[in-house]
Amino acid sequence: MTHEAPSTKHQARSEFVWATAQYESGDWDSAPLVGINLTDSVARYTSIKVSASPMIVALSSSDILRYPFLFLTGHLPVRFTEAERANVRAYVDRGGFLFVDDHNHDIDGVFHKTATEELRRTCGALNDLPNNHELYSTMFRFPDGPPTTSHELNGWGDNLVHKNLQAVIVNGRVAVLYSSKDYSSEWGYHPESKRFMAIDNTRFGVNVVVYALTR
Amino acid sequence: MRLERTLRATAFVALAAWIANAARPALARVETANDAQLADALRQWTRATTVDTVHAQLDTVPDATASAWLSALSRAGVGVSWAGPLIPATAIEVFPATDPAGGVVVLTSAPASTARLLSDALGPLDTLRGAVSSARLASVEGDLTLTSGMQPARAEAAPRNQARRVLVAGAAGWEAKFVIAALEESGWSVDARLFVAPERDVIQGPGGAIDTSRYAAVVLLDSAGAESVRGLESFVRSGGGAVLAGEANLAPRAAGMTAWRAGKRELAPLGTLAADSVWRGLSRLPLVLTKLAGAIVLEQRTNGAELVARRHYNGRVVGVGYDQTWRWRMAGGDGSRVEHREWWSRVVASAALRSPVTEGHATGAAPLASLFSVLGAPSRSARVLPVALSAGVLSNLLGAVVFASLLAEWLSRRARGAK
Amino acid sequence: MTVAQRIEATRGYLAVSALAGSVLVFFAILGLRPAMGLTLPSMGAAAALWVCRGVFSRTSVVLWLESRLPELRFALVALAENPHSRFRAAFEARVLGTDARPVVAKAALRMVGVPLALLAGTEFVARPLLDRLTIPSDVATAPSETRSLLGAGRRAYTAVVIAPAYSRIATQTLRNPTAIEGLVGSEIRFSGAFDDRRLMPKRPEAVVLVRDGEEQLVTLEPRPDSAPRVVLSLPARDSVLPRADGVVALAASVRDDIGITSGWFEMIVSSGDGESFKFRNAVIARTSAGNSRELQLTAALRLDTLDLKPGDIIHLRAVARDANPAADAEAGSSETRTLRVYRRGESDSVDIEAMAPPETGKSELSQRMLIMMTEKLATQVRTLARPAFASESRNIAVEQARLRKRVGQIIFTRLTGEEDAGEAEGALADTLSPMEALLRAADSATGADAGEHLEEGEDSPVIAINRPLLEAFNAMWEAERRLGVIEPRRALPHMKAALAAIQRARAAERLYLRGRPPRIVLDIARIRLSGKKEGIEPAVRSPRASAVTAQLTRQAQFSIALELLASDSVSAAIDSLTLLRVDALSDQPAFASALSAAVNDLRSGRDATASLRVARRALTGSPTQGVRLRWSGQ
Repeated sequence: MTHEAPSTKHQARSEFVWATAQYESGDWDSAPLVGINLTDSVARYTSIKVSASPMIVALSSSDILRYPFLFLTGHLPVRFTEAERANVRAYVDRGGFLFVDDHNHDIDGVFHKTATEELRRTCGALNDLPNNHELYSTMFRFPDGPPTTSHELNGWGDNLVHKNLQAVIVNGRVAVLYSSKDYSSEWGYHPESKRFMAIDNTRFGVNVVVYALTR
Repeated sequence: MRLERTLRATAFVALAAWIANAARPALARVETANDAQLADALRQWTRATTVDTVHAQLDTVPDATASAWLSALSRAGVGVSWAGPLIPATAIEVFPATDPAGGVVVLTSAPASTARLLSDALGPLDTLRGAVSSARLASVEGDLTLTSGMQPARAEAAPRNQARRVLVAGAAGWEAKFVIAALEESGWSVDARLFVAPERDVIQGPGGAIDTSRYAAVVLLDSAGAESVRGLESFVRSGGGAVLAGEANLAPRAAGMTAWRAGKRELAPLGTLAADSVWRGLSRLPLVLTKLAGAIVLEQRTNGAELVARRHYNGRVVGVGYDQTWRWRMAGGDGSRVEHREWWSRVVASAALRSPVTEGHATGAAPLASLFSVLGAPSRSARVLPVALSAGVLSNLLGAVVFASLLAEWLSRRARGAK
Repeated sequence: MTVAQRIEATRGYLAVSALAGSVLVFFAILGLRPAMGLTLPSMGAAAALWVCRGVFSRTSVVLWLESRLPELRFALVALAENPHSRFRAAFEARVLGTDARPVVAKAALRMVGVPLALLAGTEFVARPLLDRLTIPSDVATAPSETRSLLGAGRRAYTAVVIAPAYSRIATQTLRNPTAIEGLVGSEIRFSGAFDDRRLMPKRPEAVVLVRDGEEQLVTLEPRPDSAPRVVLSLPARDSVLPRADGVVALAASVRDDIGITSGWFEMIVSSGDGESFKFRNAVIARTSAGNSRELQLTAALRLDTLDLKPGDIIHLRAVARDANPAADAEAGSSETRTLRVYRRGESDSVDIEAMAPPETGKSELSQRMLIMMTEKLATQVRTLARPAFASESRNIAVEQARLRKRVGQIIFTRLTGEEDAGEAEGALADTLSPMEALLRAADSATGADAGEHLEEGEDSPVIAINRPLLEAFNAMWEAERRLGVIEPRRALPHMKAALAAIQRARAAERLYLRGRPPRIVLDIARIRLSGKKEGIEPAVRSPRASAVTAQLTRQAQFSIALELLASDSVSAAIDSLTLLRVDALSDQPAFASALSAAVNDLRSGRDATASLRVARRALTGSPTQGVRLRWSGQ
């Protein structure tokens, strides 16, 4: 599998681009503001070179290999095609970071059931990530593990507060991060709204990005 | 009667010559032996008191014992000469690879016309090409042997190099992440300083000043990385290695060590494959040598070089023009992860501080050269008297003449009835 | 019969007996499987013939008869020496009058019987005994997938490999195997010299059988059961349906390495959009395959029976299961096809509909968080100082009041349709009966009797949503009151009731709606590092594992095994190479295979140099030639 030179300006620098995975089976576009919001957060808190324009990249295309960070969310079933599965496998094997979030926040929902099954088949077993993992201290410190979202505190979805994120660990690092906490809803707002918040709720997202860039 | 007088005179003359021959000072005695005879000949030459000069006519270099024996004979006053026009000039040298994957690097030399076989205790490893060739072996059992014609050259496998740590510094980003990943996967112990935000670094390892007791090499991935490392120049002076990648080649702190300048960043043309080794990641800063001497180009695809190196006092500096090698790893194809890893490991290893090479290779590593050093230059042929004129032959010949003359005279006298 | 004929007949009997005896000796010794092959049996047979060599000589036979039959009184010898003696008639009469048969029969019996007893002894006593104590070299009759190459002097054992019942694979009996292949989960029973029982693991494993101080290394090489391979041929591609009617043909093919038990189509219908989706699952055309290796699945899906709405999506795939009963056995599945019912006005799926930030998301502390805080406080009633306890309880009460007001604002907005909840502020501040105050405020804002509607149980969606919210509002107020008087434990039931009410409201409808996403352009330079730095700490990175460590370890282990061989510790080297092979089976099959050949060579006493060389090449690869010389050979 080889890849041609990208024609976009992203080739100019090795900058961070928030890339959202477009998969064929579901509503991959259910959280369109997360990318721009997290891009804003990364710029606000770090000096990491970052692209102002998040990207959407088809999981079935080898273009995903241009973006070592991929965000995947949705409500509907996640069933990879053979091409998507092969790409994701290569992506993870070569060091890409796949962040999957259940927009349903429902472990009985179809997204969770199908996505976890698909990830297990494609990338390996998902296991609970310990709450003292580096991910929770790589930038901001989260001593209790993943921050709760208003959706889980309000009882949407499965009416559970998920204590842990899950991850596929490859060669000692998180290669696939899976969240049932619905960060897609939590972070899906205009970045300017942060000024109304006492504490920016996207800080954990910055941790995820910094982890992906440094581990 | 005349015949008888002539024969008697001949006998007397021959007798006189016989006596004279026996009485004259002894002529130098020269002995010769070939490969097969040498072991026995050495024993004889050592016991014989009359041997003045010995000559070895060799097809292969004698073993260490025979060479030492010849050398001892020479020191004992016996003239020792040798000739070996058919012995190939083979040599083998082995030293440990610098990178953590271990193994050895073998350098060999042999006449280009002869077939060369590299082998170890387990058997043949490979055949080698070219007059001077090199090979990297992942593992070796016992001694290494280079066989060229009839002459083997042997060398002990070098001990494993003591791998030190490598410091990688640069801004947090994909290039830093994947270079560190490549080095760690290759077995390097990596310390890292990755700049995430002002005074908010991601750190691996103890930090602090760099010195050769802690680090074998420093990899600086951009100008921020280059400016962050204090004492870089003195580190390199004392034997450390510096790898300057991308914009780190522009850093003023590294300017004193380089003999090149980085040009304007170039992007691969559209359609270039990420696996293309011309680009190794689709963008680069061409490195242009600024001094005539002092630097060598290791990779050059276009006008500017992409990989250059030079020695700086005891250390080494390697300039890498590629600045997005992570694209090569991610999008370069099925083997790209391993290729990227091995390439970076080789680059760092080529600059890294290495353990001192232990002297005193076995004489078998360069047998012909060792023979030169023990016995001196070969002679084309020994200065040997013709067999017909040797003292022994002459003595026997004169004796025979004496007896033959006297016998002929007696027969002549008896034939004519005289007593 | 004349005397001469009698002598010849006797000699013939004895000679045949001797030959038969020597043949028996030959086979008796052969039965002991001597190391020298046929040499020793031949020597034994020759020795037996030598001992009985007299039977081939007429004179010896005559003398032997004379010695055994004293009543002949040398008549036979005399006749043999001088057949024309004048006493011939008397001698013949004496000879013919003597019965030699018992003597001859006894001798013949001894010549055959002793070797026969020897043969019986070796076959029925010595050989079983030796089989028990030693492994003869020619007993390696195990199937091709096993190796039975124990060296001489090892004790015999048997391994019975019982494959899982579902696989219907016949039970295998292996004699003295050193490597056993089998389906994962197979039961392996060892008997004979070792008594043990194992299950075939999921990964290759080396087990050490131990008994009476003797050890035997056996490698277990599992063969996984593949999941069925399923290919969905119809529908051939994803599509958009103009209407939710008609029939969709479904077809799939299934193959499996062992046997398929059943196959079916799996359907998920997702309805809704934005943040609100409902899902229906169904199984179509479940077919039993009766453990066949192939299965064709076909079905027809009538869309009008699915009660599809515009925008609904049908996710279809075929699934099949083999007979593997393991809990983690994976079902095989095909790719998924989606059929979407066209919705008027919808544009391309790439078009993005965004959602606004959730209303409740603006609240810093939610009801669930307050419950957690209160529960924690309740457990600290004995440990926390009273003033601190009271202060914390009042803080939670303040947060509860804040949340109650947020809910009140939502209710007010929904009841009145007005975004500005300013009129509700006063009502929400009412400390005696805030719900009534809120409803009154709503009444005054709309001129309608909202409270009356609620009491009458109107089924208006707005009312239906607001009823649980009002309950939540009320419960929150109660909780707030309890917390204010420092009774956190008593506040908890009300807080939980409020949470339950909010969940019911959520079940009725999500509290946020989608809207067009704003087009956002970030000015990176402006926002760069403008965030608050609190909470940021320098982070420590931990190193990742080296990919070459395992390889270097293997190389070192291989070198050690070669050193063992060089020091004549062959059995130790075999064990080391066997363990190395088990380690390499999953990720370096070529190396493992070459090691297997080397181990077999060593076990059978052959020169293993060539196979070890192949193994090394498989382990380390070819030497890299032409490394750069100009820059120190790296």
